Amino acid sequence: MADAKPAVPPGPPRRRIGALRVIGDLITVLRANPLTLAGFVLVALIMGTAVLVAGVPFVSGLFTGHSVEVLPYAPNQISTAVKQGPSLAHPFGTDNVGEDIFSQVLYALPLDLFIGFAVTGFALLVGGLLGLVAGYWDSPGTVGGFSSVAILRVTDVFLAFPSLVLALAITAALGRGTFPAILAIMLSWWPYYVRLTRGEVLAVKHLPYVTAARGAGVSDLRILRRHILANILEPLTVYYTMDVGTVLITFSTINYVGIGVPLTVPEWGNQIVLYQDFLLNLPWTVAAPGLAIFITVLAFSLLGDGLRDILDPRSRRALTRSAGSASAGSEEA
Amino acid sequence: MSTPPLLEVRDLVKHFPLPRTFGDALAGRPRRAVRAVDGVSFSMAGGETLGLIGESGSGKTTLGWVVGHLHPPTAGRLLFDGADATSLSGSALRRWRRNVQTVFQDPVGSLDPRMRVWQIVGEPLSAQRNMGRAELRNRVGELLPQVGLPPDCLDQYPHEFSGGGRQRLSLARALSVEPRLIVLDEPTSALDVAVQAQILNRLVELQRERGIAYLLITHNVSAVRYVADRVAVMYLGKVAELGSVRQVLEAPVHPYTKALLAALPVADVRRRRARYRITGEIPTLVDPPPGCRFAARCPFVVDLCRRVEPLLTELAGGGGRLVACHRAAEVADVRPETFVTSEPTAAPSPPTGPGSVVS
Repeated sequence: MADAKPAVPPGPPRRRIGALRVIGDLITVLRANPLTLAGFVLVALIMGTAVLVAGVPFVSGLFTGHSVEVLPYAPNQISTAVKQGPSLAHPFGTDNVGEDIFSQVLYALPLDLFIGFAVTGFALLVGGLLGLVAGYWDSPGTVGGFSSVAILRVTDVFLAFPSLVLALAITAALGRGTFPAILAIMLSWWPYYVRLTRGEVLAVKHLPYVTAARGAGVSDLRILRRHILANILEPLTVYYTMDVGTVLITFSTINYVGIGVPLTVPEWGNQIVLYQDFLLNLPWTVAAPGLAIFITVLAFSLLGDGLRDILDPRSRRALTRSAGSASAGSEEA
Repeated sequence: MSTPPLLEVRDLVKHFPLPRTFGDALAGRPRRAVRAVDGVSFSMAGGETLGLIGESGSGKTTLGWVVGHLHPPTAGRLLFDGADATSLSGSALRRWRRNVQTVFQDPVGSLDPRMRVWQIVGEPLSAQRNMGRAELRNRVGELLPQVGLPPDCLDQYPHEFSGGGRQRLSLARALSVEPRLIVLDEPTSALDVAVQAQILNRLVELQRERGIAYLLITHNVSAVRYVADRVAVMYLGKVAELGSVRQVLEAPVHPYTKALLAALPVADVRRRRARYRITGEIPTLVDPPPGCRFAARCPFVVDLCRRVEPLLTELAGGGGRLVACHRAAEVADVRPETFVTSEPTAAPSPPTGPGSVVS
């Protein structure tokens, strides 16, 4: 705030600067795009629930010595209320031994979300970094050109296998367990980000403004950060957000096939495996985890779609302007 | 001359190697290259404007990019203030950039769409030394009025400006480090005529105030006539003719210069007479034929032209005027108006009437 006071005439009421303005634009854009808004709200709800489910017992356990549960029932708590359909007491019904499906689905949420973010995060970090290097320093005959070729060939080897097949193979090799399953998906996921990032870098790095920055004397690292990374962050973020859902589906698939997380660990894919025999008698037992996967994937896809509009300053302004006609033109003169 | 020229270019060569094809490798042919700039020499004094004209593909932009250190030269030397500046890197290159800046043709593409005005215009400054945000904004706020922009648009994005406004931003960016030479790569060709005039006026004023030298790369002959002191005509990677604007544009000697000027649209239809004809496309830069590069299209071609390449030599009594043509003395008096650059509509006899149209 203090630095926004140059020796420049202040002029008419200036537009808000920086983060404040982005948030302001965000709100306007969200009001104009119900689907993006739905994505935002759903993701916020999902994340909030996950934090509550995982966080409250942990934190209360730390401070009071006994953990306070948020869920109405423990995930494997047997009761006499067996095979019940959805009701107020059991929103998603109960299974053949009286376990509450609602509690089970929510209990699995933090793990599934964590896996979605961990895998895409790892892929984005590793793949993105390799893609940046391979895309930016690629003139043949130089050290950069050699490293670029090396990175891409290794990537190609991984890409030769469909990610699901590769993940299945790695899980089978590593043995059953939560950590091997996560590792397997991570190892099969990053190559896509190398290709994606490299392609975006190649598209941007010969644009005139990158040349202009070189001509201005800006260093390579700074060009990479300020001009290239800043301009490819938008497609990467969009892809990343949508990919969280894809990872969830892959993880559930590995578990469904039965070589991922042990069946004792509550996880949506596992729950579907466990209950698939009851599909006809107790349909809610399968529908609930399936619906959870569906809603989570949908939420992140909607969010990713909306982010595309919000992150681009051009379309953000356009959206703001079109929305501004409805909500008092506080921006712009 | 006792003081060295501001910029001296000696036999500058820039080849872009082509990927060697399998057939070439089998036949043992050497690797081929596009000879974009093929032995160009000139020098510039401080505060001078040298125009560089030529049709598309003549290598003029490549030459500008080599001078601006955006491409490394293949061979030749670049001297700035008498000191060698051919291959620079690291901090030496950064110091060079303080003296030489480039303004690009595309006012839309050459500004990062995600950066605000103060970041864009201040970029060369902040690349030179670490500057605080407030200091940088102040400095940019002072720069903007000098190119005719309001100082309060610091926080706008480039897409909020018109084409002319964006080119002014580019200009402000180049001016920010107070360079002594600015390479102007087609600075006005993306703008409409009225805006072109404004930008050119601004350039001339800035030069008068600060003594900046311009290397003006353009295919706009009237811009050169208006802004430049001297002009170099390029054809296929070589300089065909070099001299003062008055000499070259009023009394061109090289047949190519004549043809280039004849191609300009002229309002007076009676001036149009077609005696000599330039046909064909600009030949490829990959394997230029021996001899004069213009021989294939030149109406004055003789056998010598196809065998021996003419060197850029000073014209007798020409006052420092350089021409690369074997028949310079003979063709000097041929008026450019007697050229046409394409097949006339009323073939086959040479049309002489006012009806002949040149496209």
